[in-house]
Amino acid sequence: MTQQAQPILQVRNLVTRIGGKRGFGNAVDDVSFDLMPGETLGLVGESGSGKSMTCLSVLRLTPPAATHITGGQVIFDGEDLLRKTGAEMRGYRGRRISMILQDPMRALNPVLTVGEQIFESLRLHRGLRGAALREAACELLERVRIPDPAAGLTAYPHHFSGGMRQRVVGAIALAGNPDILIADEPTTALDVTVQAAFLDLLKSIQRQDRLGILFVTHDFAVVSRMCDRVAVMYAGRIVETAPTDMLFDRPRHPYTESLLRSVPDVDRREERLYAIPGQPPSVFAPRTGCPFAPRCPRAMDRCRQETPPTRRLDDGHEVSCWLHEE
Amino acid sequence: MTLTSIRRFARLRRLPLLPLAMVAATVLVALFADVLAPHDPLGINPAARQMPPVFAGGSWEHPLGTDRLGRDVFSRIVLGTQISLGVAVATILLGGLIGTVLGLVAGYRGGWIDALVMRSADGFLAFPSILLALVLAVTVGPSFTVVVVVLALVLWARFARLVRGEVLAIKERDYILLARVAGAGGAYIVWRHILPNILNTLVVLCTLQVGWAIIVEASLTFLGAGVPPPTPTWGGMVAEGLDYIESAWWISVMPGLAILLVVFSYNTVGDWLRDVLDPQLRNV
Repeated sequence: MTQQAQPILQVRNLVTRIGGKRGFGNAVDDVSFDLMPGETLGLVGESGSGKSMTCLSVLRLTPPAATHITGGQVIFDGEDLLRKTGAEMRGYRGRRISMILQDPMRALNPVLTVGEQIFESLRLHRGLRGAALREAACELLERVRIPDPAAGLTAYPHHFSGGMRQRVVGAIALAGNPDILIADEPTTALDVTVQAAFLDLLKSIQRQDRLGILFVTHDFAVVSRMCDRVAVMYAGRIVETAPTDMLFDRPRHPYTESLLRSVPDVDRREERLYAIPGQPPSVFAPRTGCPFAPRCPRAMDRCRQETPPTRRLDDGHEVSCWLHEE
Repeated sequence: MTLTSIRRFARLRRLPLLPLAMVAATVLVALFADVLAPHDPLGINPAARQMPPVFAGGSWEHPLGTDRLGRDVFSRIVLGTQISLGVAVATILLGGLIGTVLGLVAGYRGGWIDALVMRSADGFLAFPSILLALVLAVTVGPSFTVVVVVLALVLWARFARLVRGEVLAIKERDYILLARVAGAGGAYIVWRHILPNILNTLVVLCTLQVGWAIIVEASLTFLGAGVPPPTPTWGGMVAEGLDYIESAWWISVMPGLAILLVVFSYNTVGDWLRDVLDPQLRNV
């Protein structure tokens, strides 16, 4: 964020519809955000708020039978990915935009060696063969700090621990030298010490490669450690976007406020943990007004009737709430 | 490492030695049938008709006796192994290949392709294979090829069903999504990521189908819709001996025993393979 560069990724008014036996609804509802090269944008929210669906929509890999991207733009490096053909899109995946997932235990194919799975990406993206292929794979494993990379290549995924596997997954994701890494809760399945080491690794790789990271999580400790900016999602919409420290210091959207209040604090020994009353709405429920209004402590009549637009406030917050309309 | 090696050793201790030896024996017998058969299996010898087996008062010249034309039962069973196993292997190769490919495509692509493949599979499974074989035997004449085609027509559906089910489960796994994130295409994912994961299941299914193929082949031949005489087949021998069951029981019973033992062995080995391979696959 030191130099004023063009965003590597601009998502504009993205809408992804999801449909099934229970009806239709927008899993991703009018979502817009920017990601700069070398920046980490956190995407936080409760389960089912559309974080993962947003990520998959960027790659155009949402489940084809149940979902459909119906509107908006995903502008990557000046080009709208939503207008690309399937074959063109495959050229972006892995090479320009890559992804790691939550559970490293499931992210590797159990019947192929780690080497074969890394070779696969290297062959696909860099067209390497033979000795060069092996060398590049070793370098990758070294980069993610796997001890004894040569031995690692011939091992199967189950020979590795969770943290090591996530590093391998990272190595595979980085094989194509991507510009963006989408990290969908990459540390949720890891224990705390392993988590810290993995995040440090991710940070250092990010600095070397000027990698833009879209970091999905619901853990605010991870957010404060990793993210430059944070976008808070609720019911498929981004309700607030702000630089990380500003979001923590002065949340402007009542949902962000409630969310931060629900994080248990070791210093405050409370009798009861705070929970936001009510449930997030179902994707399939009909929508009028602000989706958070039914649970909002400061909801007004207007909130229930009209959806608030997104406003950019003076302090850099972007917020979608009627409280900030003058 | 030590724990897994101990477990593996324990599992190996439960090895079904006898059935495994039988399976190995059938393969060897089928391969070297011409050398192993002491007599010409087609050689008619009017002087030595309906000779009893050695344990029923016969001689070592014909250890399992001779049939009504004086042909050596043992030699005919030995050569029959070749036919029975040949039919089984050819059927499984043909049916298994078609079924696996269709199952992979149906499972991975889904939609109307899936519906089409699976409804046809249901149709082929519901259709009585014996009837189909009889119709074909009447119209194009009975032959080795007809038997293989008829069996494969049923078998592909079993493979397709099983493979499709496995693909449906595997394609939802994270590493498939990550392969797509990495820019891999459908055919590549199926070949590199899904197929290796179902290989174990396929091996087990193949083994279990050997017994089925041998029995159906025998039934078809028994009914006259199988491999035509004078080629010695187990089913055909049972059928031929039936008229003489009271005077020369060994003509039917000996090939019948061969069917029994071989089918039992293959199924036992198949079950064993399933037990050995499955938990390992799930645990990795």
